[in-house]
Amino acid sequence: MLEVRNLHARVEGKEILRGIDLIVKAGEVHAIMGPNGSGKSTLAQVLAGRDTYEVTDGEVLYKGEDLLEMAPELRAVEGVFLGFQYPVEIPGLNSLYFLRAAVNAARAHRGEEELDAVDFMALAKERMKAVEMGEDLLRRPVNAGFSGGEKKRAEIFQMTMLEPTLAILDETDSGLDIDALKVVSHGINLFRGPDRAIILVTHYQRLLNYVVPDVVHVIHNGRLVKSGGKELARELEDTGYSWVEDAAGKGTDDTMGQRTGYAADREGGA
Amino acid sequence: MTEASAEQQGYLEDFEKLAARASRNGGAWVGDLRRRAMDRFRSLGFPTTRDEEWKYTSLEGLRRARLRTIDTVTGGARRHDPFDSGDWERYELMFPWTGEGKTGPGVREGRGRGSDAGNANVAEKGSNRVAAGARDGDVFIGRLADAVELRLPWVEAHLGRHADYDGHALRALNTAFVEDGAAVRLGRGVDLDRPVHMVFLADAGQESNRIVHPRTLVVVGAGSRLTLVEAYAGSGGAVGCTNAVTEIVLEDDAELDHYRLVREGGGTFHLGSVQVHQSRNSRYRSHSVITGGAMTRVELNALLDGEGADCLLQGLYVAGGSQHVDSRTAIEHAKPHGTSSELYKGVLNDRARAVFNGKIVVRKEAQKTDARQSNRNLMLSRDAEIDSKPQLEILADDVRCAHGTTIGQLEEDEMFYLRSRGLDAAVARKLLVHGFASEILDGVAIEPLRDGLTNRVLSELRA
Repeated sequence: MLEVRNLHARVEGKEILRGIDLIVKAGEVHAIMGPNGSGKSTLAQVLAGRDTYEVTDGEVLYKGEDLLEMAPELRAVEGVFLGFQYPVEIPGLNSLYFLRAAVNAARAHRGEEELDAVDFMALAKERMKAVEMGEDLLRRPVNAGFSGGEKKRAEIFQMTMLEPTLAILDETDSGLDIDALKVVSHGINLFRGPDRAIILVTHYQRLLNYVVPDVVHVIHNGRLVKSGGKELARELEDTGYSWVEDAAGKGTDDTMGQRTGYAADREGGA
Repeated sequence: MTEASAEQQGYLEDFEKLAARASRNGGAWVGDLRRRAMDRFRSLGFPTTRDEEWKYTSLEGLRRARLRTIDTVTGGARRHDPFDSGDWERYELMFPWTGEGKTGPGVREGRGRGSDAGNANVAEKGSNRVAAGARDGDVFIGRLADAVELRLPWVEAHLGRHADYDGHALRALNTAFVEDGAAVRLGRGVDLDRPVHMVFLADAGQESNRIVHPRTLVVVGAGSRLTLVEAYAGSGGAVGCTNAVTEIVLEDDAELDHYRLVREGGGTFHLGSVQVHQSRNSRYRSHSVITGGAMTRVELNALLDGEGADCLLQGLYVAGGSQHVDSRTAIEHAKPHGTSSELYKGVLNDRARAVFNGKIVVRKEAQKTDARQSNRNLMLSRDAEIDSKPQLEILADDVRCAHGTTIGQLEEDEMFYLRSRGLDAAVARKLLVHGFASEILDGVAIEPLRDGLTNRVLSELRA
């Protein structure tokens, strides 16, 4: 479904991705784990088409097509979904109206009839239940005044409404308490299927207790430095990222600082 | 008397014609009022950009155009709904400043689509309406000319008494030509059962170089409530001018929702001036929406002249191409415990230019005043310009006053978020512009009107 080859990207002259190679097949769940600043969010944004990042080398094929040539909206209607680490608040834009427009854009692209307000509402109500999201959130402007947990649930809810084939979930677990994490994980698990693929971008292993990945990759300094099965995530949980840095031979002061930050985060988040 | 300049000559001739024709209508005071105002206009002349108040807005084009005044309200009572707002119950006053004939507008009880002249639900009702529950004579909704001719005492008591023209050439000009327009008066304790919708239609399609001076007088008696929609519309690109003055009087505990909507044709200058006089505990809520026109300037002045008066000003101006739009508000707190809240938002595209000037005056005796003002601008083009200027004159010491201005572009983050959900850039932009404008448009309580305005705003921006 997705083939990333030697992907390089930079922002403001600074190279962030330095040769990513990744193959994701339909039905698979991949986890990409790494410390802050390793490039994992950049990878997610580049795949979704954010133009603040400049792709300098490499290619990305999605269902055999050149993904990098597509505008963000085309990627979306072709089935690529990005769950944002920081979902954007848009005061004044009604959630219902927005989401119906998005769902119907994808339907129109597939040559399907648009959903009218009644059918859309029925579907939305059903899908909201799965993530235990209150209906009142839909009547409010997009993400406006939502708590951190509400925003993440809303992202997963949007995903289940848009029914993408490739979902890239960027730190969907961050900022969630354990109950919310279970709810969000449940939503993701319901979404899993043989025709779909999911890329979980995360700092922590704990999401992977609930959404068990097929493949785990470790990203460091803009490269995937190690890949393995789900047990690799457990290993990271026990040892932190320091061994990765040692193995990569690039344990600079900079990354050491980030590692300290990671350890502190972990205690706060547990 | 100063010598009239060449650019004033046409106005003087037109004035003498009016004075001769209208001399016997409505008592000597009207004629006196006109003449005093004309004398004032002669000595003031048109403002120039050397006047501080007109620094950013030039009337050079208007001076050069040598416009002639259209005699009076003419044409049939053709119905028109400039915002295509569909179905809502209202009392209608139509002022089509176009064509020939002298039939003038009547009041209609309307329900139905505005442009449908043959609508069976519309009945001609004459000019004096009595709302359900009100005593006879408590309610007048009709032509100002009729109110003047009937010598209704509240007309003489208020017309020209609030909209001071002493230092204001355009108000003076309007007052000099005061003849017709709308008059609405509610007596004590009247809660009118539906909004009054007045439409001033300057259809310059056939007649170029015309100026009209619509005048509106609204008196809301003690404890009465009114919703007023005052719409100015035009079509076609011919040069013309609407020079409108609206005087509003709110007696004690009176309440008014005032929608002032401008949608002029492409060649039109719209110069509007609203003067509100508020008595004790009265509530005035203004919703101003400006689209279209070559150059629009709307001044809104509220005098909070009674304790506990409340004033809400909400405005939205939308401009593209080479349009120029100037919003000028002044809220004067003259008595204690008054509150005012103002939010004006602008959306500017292409080479459009906007001016916002918001003045708040708190007089020395107006203690415990709470006044807030905000102006926010969304720039859709690098070539658009805004001059935004808050002006505070606080003479009392125990007050709360806050103001702020923002000027920004569409947020890159927001655009990407919407596009990542499958909405193309044009749709995403439209939704974001709508989101920005909705803070004002959502304040429009008449739902079909809100929808009509929203469509108008979005199409104006080609967003």
